[in-house]
Amino acid sequence: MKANSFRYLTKQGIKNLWLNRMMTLASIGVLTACLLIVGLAIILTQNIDNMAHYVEDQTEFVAFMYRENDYIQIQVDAGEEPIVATADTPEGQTPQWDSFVQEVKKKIEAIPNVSSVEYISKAQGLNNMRSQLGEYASLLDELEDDNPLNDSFTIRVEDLTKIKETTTRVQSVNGIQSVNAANDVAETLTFIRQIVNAVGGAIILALVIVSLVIIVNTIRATIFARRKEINIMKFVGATNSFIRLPFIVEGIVLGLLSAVIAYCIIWGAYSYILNAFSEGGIVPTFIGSAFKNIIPFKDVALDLGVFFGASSIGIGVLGSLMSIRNHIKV
Amino acid sequence: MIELIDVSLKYDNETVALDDINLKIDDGEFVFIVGSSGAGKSSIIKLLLRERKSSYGVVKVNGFNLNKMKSRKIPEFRRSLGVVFQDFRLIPTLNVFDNVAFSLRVTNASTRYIRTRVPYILNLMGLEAKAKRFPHEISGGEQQRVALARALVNDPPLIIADEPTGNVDPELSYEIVNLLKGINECGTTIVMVTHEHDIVRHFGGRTISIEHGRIMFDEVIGGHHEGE
Repeated sequence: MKANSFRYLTKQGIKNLWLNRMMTLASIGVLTACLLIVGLAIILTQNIDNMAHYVEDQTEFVAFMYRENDYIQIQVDAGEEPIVATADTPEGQTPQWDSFVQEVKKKIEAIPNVSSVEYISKAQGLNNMRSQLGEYASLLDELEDDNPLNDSFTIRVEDLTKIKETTTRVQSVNGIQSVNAANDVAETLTFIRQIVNAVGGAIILALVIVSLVIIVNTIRATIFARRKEINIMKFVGATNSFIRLPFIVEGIVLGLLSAVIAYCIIWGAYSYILNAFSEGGIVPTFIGSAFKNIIPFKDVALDLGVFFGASSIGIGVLGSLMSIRNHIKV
Repeated sequence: MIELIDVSLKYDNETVALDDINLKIDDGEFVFIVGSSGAGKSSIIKLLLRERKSSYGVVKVNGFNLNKMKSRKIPEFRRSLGVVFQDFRLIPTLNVFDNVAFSLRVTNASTRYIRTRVPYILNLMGLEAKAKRFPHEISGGEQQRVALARALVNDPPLIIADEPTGNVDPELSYEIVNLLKGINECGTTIVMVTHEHDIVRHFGGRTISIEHGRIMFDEVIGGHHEGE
């Protein structure tokens, strides 16, 4: 096709949008509504996913070391050379115990899926407890000389779905007495995230299909009204691509206009809601704080824009081609 | 040139619309095809425009073998002839100029050629003043002249006119046929289908009569105003 034909047909497509402006308006309205719902579903899914991810990141489990004396006893019972020479080592960290702890830490860090390991000595553990108790901290004063806590590691993982396997491996490290993991919580969280992703994906897919059906029907209606015109074109010797191009242009313009409108609406509404929930907004701060993890619009802007652009053009072109198919055979 | 050899056309393998038609129309001829409604006139037109393929036989138009031709060749074939319909079939959203120009545009003609060729043809048809009008703003006779201009603008060797006088006032009918006669004198083959015997008797010439899907007679009859 030559450039001047292309220009002419593109112009025809845009002219037709204006000539059939009621139909154009109806199509844009319907398509905008569909895109709004799809956009909402995308943002909602991303936010839930983000929140779940955040909670997952916060999920950690604790591995407790044996108490120093107990461990030496185990070693002695097993007939091994104890890490500390005497069985009645006084309380408090001995240099040998310290290096043993570092060794254990390294072993845990080497386990796959472990993202971070933080060592909490029993003294530190007691301090943490104190600060949690606040004004009742003096209750713990008695324990100062005989700290009943164990040295421990706070461990975070990369993939929450594999947490069971990871805890088992941590448990098997020499020197670890027990592991305290909220496996159920982890599993539930992972399950929720998977469900949200699957349901969100299904909803988005369904809505895209619905949009396609609607746009096909709207374009089909305009084409039906113009079937005589298409017929005439065929008898004058127009090729199929010559007849199709204006309709495709119409589809693309319809799609893009709807996408821009829907994008702006979502942008405005989302930013407004986000402002309302953030500090200084109209919603009380204590509610707002629960929404701290809402993704700011700029983080979804590009994804949403690309999705809207691509899907609206795709729907427009596909819609035109599908609806013209039946009328072009003469 | 048009050639139909042993052509039959059946609809749904039941109704026989055309039965064993043999017909040859040479370049430069002016031929009337007459017959009452349902006789098979429009079936012949459908075959000549490759709207349908014949059930049997060979249909050749302008060097294209229509039954063997691939679908993607259809546009090229249709550009080799001009068609005029009873109901004009102008595109309602285009003005007179653009309706005529459309035939050129489908051939990828340059804008410059369109700007000189279309006014020339409109002038020839006496439509220069109506170029900016839309089809619904002009009379039936004028609409048919626009259709004729559209058929002519590509300078095709063959024009097929399907009841071109059917929707215009009787006095204008003669004007339309006169125009066709004039075009024919310049060398263009014209096939005009009509059921108006008055017109045929008036102009005369080679006349093919079709009844019940068969050719009843094919002969030259003398008109009252031969070559008018």
